[in-house]
Amino acid sequence: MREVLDEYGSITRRALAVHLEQREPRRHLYAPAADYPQRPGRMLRPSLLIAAARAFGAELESAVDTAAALELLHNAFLVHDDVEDEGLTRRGRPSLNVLHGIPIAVNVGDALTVLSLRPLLANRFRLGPRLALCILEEVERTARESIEGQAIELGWRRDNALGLSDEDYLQMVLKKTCSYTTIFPLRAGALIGRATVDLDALTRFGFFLGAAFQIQDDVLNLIGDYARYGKELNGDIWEGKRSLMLIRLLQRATPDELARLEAALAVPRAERTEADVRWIRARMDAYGCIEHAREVAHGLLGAACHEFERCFSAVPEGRDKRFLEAMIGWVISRD
Amino acid sequence: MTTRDPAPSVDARPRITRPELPRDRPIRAWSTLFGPARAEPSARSPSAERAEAPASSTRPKAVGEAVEQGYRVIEEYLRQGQKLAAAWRPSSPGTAPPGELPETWRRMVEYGWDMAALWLELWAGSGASNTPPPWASFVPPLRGAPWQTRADAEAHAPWSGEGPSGDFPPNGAWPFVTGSEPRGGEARPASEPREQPLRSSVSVVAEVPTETLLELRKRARGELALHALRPEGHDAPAIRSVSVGTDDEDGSVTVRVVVPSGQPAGLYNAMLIDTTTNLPCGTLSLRVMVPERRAEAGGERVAP
Repeated sequence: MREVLDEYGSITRRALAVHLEQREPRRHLYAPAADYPQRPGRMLRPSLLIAAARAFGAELESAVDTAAALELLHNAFLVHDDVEDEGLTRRGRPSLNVLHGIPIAVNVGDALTVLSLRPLLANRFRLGPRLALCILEEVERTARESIEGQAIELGWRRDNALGLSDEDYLQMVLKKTCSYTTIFPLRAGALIGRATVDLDALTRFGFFLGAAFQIQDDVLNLIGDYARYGKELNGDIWEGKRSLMLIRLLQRATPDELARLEAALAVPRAERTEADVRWIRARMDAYGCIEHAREVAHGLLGAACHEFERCFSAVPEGRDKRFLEAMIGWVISRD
Repeated sequence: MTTRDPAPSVDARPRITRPELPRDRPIRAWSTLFGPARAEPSARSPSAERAEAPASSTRPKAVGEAVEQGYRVIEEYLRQGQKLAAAWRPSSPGTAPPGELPETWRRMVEYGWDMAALWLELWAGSGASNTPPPWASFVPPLRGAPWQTRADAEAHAPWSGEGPSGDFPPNGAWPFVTGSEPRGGEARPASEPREQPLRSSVSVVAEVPTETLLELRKRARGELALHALRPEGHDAPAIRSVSVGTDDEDGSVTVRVVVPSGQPAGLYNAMLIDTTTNLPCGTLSLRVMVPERRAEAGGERVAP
């Protein structure tokens, strides 16, 4: 697992270096644009894409440009997310909005989005215009859905939504996270490999895998090791993020607790107090919200197992197929 | 005769049996696929344990609900996606409803001609432009009228020795044209496109061979301004000795460039701006060649 992530991650990093070449205006654009991609990350998305493409019979080189585009887009989202969430750290270091201020960070996010188009256009030389256009359409849909998911979540926070269900959360996560973290890499891999696989089944597999990944990510935000997680612990509570645990707490809280929760979540992050955050975290423990989230993640991964069999049973055994299968267990076991 | 032993043949000792299992059917739960869920390491209060007890007892139900909800969400998503795809399909590239087949056919012919134009441009750029290419007799006139004869096409073709003119190339999109005089040569007048006659010339003074491309996209409403030629993709000082003038009578545009001595080789670009509207109306590209190419490349040339 680690070996494949390292190998495909370093290949993607080399491709990224080409697209993030330093030029003027360096200080306020291209240097900060290369910052997040150079920080240590798992490179999960490009690795997933390359592994899927290779599992379906594509050559490594055919998938690298799309993988690089996806990573650029991911980093663009991260930059904008940190601005929107007023995030303080990213991958163990201060976030771009902290280092350079919000205007430059927003512009860098825009630049990374635009830069992601270049490798997608380069696809036409290796994959041909028709397949390159097909992948471009997938990227357009994926990016749009991710932005829609982000809008849903931001809306929940702005409107201080309290009556949410687990299903609301899954719908949001499907768009915000799964669409570009797991669904797109799998579908793009199948397209690049020119596989005759059922893309809907791949979408289901990607959804269950991605949703469990996001839930585990949210759990790690509460109980993870900061040094390995790279983001501020309890950051989601500080941001008022509607994680599955917070939704569970809102469902279980007594009327008095609900009133306090409503008041605590109504204020902007800067006005939220340490005492409020600790109290929310303690109530999550009291109501077993983290356990509940873990159970949901386990259930979703079980479904992911089922869908994996449907998608990959006809794919020849090999390292890339084993990597994709191992991803199911890794989602939960990672820390 | 044999008789049976009246003593019981079965061992009177109690049989070893498997202990009774608490379950009476297989337990297949999603939650046990990856082992039991780990408890978070934080210390819990007794009240927390009490609060969690009912949650644990409903664990399989919660997991089952999660999977059910998950499938509901993803199936609805796929259904919506198929609906959207059906709505978008007619306008997707490469597909057309039956009623639009003539339009598709027209587009195919156009793409074919574009492809032929691309081949010709590549061929012209290869430097072998004094003789017709072997496939010349198969290539229809580029962007010309379908009824144009091959003789007409060849008369205006790049290999006819007349340089870019007539309908060739489409939209003035010639690649760099290599000139012949390295210093102070006056450019030849540009072609006159059929719809918007717009004459232009470029004069380049340089010690080394250069290639130029002037693209005028539309007629300026006022005076033209030309900014310095800035390096593209390399570090070099900009070429600032540039000027542009417009003839009051016929509107022809004249661009003059003086390349300083020792200017690094490479590509330089500048934009022509309409000073009345402040909108760009063309671009000038100049490639300073390396001295080794002096023998094969000349000075300057005009592109329409």
